[in-house]
Amino acid sequence: MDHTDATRLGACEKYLLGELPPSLRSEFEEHYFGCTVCAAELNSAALFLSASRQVLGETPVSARAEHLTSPARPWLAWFRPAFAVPALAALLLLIGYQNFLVIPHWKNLAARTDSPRLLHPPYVRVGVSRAAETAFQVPAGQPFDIFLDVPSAPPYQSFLFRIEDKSGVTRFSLPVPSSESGKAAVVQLPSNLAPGSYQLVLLGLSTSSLSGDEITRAPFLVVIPGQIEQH
Amino acid sequence: MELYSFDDAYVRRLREGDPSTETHFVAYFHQLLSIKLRARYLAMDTVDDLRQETMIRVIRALRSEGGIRQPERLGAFVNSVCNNVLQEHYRASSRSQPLEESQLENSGKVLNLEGLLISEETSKNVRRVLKSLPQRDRDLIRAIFFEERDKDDVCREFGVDRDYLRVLLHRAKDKFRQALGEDQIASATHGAGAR
Repeated sequence: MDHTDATRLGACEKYLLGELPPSLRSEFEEHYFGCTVCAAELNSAALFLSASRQVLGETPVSARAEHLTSPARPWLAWFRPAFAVPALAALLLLIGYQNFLVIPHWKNLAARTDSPRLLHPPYVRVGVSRAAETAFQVPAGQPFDIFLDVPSAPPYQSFLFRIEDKSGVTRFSLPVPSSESGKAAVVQLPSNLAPGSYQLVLLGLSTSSLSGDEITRAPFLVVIPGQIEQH
Repeated sequence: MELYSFDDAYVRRLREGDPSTETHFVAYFHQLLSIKLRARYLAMDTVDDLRQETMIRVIRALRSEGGIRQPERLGAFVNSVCNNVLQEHYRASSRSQPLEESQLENSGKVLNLEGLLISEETSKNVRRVLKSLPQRDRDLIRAIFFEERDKDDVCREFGVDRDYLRVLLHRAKDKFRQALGEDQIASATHGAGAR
């Protein structure tokens, strides 16, 4: 395909509309990589369309466009994006609120008793990384508290607390602001960790180390209650 | 915009690491590669990875023994390296998940150009262009490129044919180019390319 062919075919518009068959699409691509005129046309068209998406997203659908929906089935109008999307978003918010706030709150309350209990939460000390054989154990299905030494701030501006699974994949992360530095914080582990091996990691963040310096690493096991070893 | 032509001198400067030539090279091909890869409806992070891999391989080839034999075909070379990178990606993907024929061919959908960085200046000019269009044409563009509705359905609804859509896109593109000016298009797309 040369420039004359591309112009005659209206290749730029057809390409953007997804109307070129695969063979012509490849030919046009080979052409525009070598033709600065077609490359400029394509770039400007792509920029226009990309910006139009943003701009049109800011403006409501015109009254005329609304009249174009089929009058014979007005109830279908409720499924148009203008209605369906906000309704779906509201539903998702409600589901999220229930699943992530309300239900865990009540489950948490149910897990607590009305009378005092003696607890022995593990204590994760800064600069001391535990080995696998000293891993502490937490019961599955219940929230669990851990005492954590947050280091004094310099040289770090803030910290990041992370839970990694045995593959090293981060399951949860919790920013720890500099206001907590030098204090002993209590971190409550989520109750929905599946049984298995995990690592608790505390990272120090600074402008020179945006991905974080590892300060402390502590392995722990989530086990079925009743299988916890007594120390 | 300073005009560059892909010739011996350009390729030599690129091989030698001349900063302004490198900047032009990256900016020029970054956008074209993005458009080409998005025409395959790949995920954004896959587009970024494949684009980067293509650029790396081209630079490596330029700096290797023999380099690029036909500097005037540098663009075609970049395109063919991208094709190879795409094929490797498809082969690797099909090992873990069989690809249907239709995923590799043109699906008939409009290109997904979401995510290009748009400056306020560009947005302003696009608003101006859209405002200058008749209401029906504005709604057509919205239906096709924003709502991504089926083109045949939209054409039926608005009482137009596919040729009308192409002409509309062509006219809108030309108005936009006039509004923005050639230099600004270059810097707008180079700005997007620098992402």
